[in-house]
Amino acid sequence: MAKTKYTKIDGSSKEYWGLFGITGFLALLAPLSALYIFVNGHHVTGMTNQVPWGLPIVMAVYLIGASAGSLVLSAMSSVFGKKEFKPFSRMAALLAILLIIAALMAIILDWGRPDRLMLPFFYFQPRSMFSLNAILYSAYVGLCGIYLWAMFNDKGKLEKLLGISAVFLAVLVHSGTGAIFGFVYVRELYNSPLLSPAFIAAALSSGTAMMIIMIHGTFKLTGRHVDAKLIYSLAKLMGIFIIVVLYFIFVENLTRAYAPKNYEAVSFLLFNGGKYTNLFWVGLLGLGLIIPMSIVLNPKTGKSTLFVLIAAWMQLIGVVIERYIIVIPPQVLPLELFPDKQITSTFLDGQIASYNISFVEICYSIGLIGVVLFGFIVCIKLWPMLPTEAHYQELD
Amino acid sequence: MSVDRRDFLKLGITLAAGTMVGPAGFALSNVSSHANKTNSNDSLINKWGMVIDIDKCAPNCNSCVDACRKENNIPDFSNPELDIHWIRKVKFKQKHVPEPTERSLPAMCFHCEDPPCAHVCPVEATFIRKDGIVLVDKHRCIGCRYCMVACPYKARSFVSKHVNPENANNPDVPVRMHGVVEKCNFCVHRIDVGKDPACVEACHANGGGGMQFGKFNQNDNGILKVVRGGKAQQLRADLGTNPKVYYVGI
Amino acid sequence: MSKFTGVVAVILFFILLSFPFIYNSLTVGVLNSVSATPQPKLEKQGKCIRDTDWMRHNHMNLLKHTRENTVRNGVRVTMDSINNCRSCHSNRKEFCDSCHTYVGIKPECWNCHIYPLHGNDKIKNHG
Repeated sequence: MAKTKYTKIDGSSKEYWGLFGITGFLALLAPLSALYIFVNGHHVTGMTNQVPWGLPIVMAVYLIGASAGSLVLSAMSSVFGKKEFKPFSRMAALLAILLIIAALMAIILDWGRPDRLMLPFFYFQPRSMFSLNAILYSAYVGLCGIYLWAMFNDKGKLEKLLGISAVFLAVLVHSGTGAIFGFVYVRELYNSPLLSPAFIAAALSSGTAMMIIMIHGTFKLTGRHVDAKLIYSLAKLMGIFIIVVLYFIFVENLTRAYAPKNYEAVSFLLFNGGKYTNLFWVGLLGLGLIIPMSIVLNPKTGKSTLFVLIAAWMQLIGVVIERYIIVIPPQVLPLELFPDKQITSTFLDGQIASYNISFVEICYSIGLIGVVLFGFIVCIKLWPMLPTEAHYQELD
Repeated sequence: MSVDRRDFLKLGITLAAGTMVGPAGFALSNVSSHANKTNSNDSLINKWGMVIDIDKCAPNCNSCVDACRKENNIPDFSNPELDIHWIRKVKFKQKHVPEPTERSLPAMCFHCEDPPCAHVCPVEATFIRKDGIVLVDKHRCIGCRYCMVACPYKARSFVSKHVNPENANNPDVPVRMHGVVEKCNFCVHRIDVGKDPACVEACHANGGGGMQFGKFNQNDNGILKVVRGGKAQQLRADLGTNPKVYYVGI
Repeated sequence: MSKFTGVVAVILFFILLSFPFIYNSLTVGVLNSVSATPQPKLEKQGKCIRDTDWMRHNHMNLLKHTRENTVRNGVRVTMDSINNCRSCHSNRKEFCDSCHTYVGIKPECWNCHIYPLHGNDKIKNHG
């Protein structure tokens, strides 16, 4: 097998500096909107005392997922023996690092007191998923960095070992993220042992979708050749991951719907929840999962770059919707202080709360994606991340 | 590409192992710390608690809430979604059988023995004092709001606007700055100097006098006796958090 | 090209490194305050809860220690309480802030704890 060559990009064209400027501006949006929230108070966001976690947390969970997904893809060649994906392993590991950094930014800048950043490292509460995740996330960033270094220096055995541990840690990190919600036993729609594995399935599918888009985009813009077959096989992989996601959603909701105490919660999500119900059926199941899955698994459309790209975009946005549906509706539903009584109060007990995304939260979320893209285009100029060309190689 | 069976299995096993090891380890630490507790029925002895007789609680009486707001410098944000509530009046009616009149009870932080809020706090800002009071250390809170998501009783509020201490009513209680989470603390500054919480004092002075505050002391005629009587009940006792506020007459 | 970049990087690094000094000299105005050593004013004369010289160096540690003890351990010593300070040091602006401004630090205590800027009138009214 021919050895893949990696080169830096030239990065002196007008287009490069244009992209540099645009993504740099977007990246600035995140800290600026966080500063705006910090200076004015959290009342400028859509988050309230009824819905304490909003879009920033949705984005954080989403970015962590995409990071775990792309790291697994990066290790595909060395750990799972999928040699054909070897050319992408550097850029996938780079994206994994950038995505987790953006995710950490999303979480920390959303705190009421981001200036107390170091406190989670001084104090440790082993029962708190946040506390454990603080350690896991930092270890993950470090390990991804070492893994990337090993890939740059062609440390065959070590690279494989690091790859295995990085994948293991990625799975652990994302299980931990799922457990943030899954362990909340007082809210019916959160509490589920399936949340961790379901998070990982969605992480893999969204990570693959993101890689398809990034590979296609960067190779096209830098004028490098990528074998379309590679894109198609990634798309097929994405289709398989989507099936797993669908399976988890099916099992989870069916199990929940069986218990009478959950009737109200489940019917809110599935039937009479207004925008949440629409998001679930149309946004998530239809546009986010089933249609992209049908596109990539269909032998005809699965072999068309245009269709595959459309499917990847739908899936990428579909997983944002999935995270939104996991994070928001359980908080919108009222807590059952008395399961057998109707309650009202000045604190809006017993009422369905409303969460309206504010403009500043949207800027914040776009800014986080800007951080990832800006970091990416800077890093591919500084280091040889991209292969000169990516050919599809038949397995031995 | 063909995802052949061996590779798929390898992937599956790695994923499954990671998924299980993580949460399992953490959950085990919860259970083991529970097993270490002395297996006896006196874990509440000498802890502060409250018994509230609902029959004496008129739905239109708001004296405990007003007293609390005054005592603890609770700011008024004039927005029901952002307002801070340490104690609130909850009005309730039976859901499955007709009930002509609405009844009410004051709900606050129940200072659970196994508080989910303290368990999820990443910096131990929420902690349990030796006398059973669950407190938020606002010097340490980072404002991540995990505790608000985890609390079953909606006892917690986030300070979403800046509060000016110059406008505070009670100079002995600090206001809370933007970005931290706050909740009822049983008026810890009052009980440390031997006074009852402000809501209990107000309930006896202006309300129906249904609130009774004290320690679960064995040789006492106070709240332990009422709880032993069997008519007192906790809210959502099924969750196992073991609240230290009991209600009579729900 | 690379030499130029290196020089720029070193200069940038030192600017970042000395940022606190630059910031403070711009905001506090080192040139203005260097000559005027602060003279904190105290209306009420008498003995403090600790030696004056010790307090000058350690009041922040005492406050922090008391804070841990009070909030987390429930040990309330009225004498050491932060609310007790204001019974003698009634004018925050002329006592606390005079030094704090001079050395350019902003303690967060008074963002929450109530300590009126000019005297205790409000507290006295409260009774």
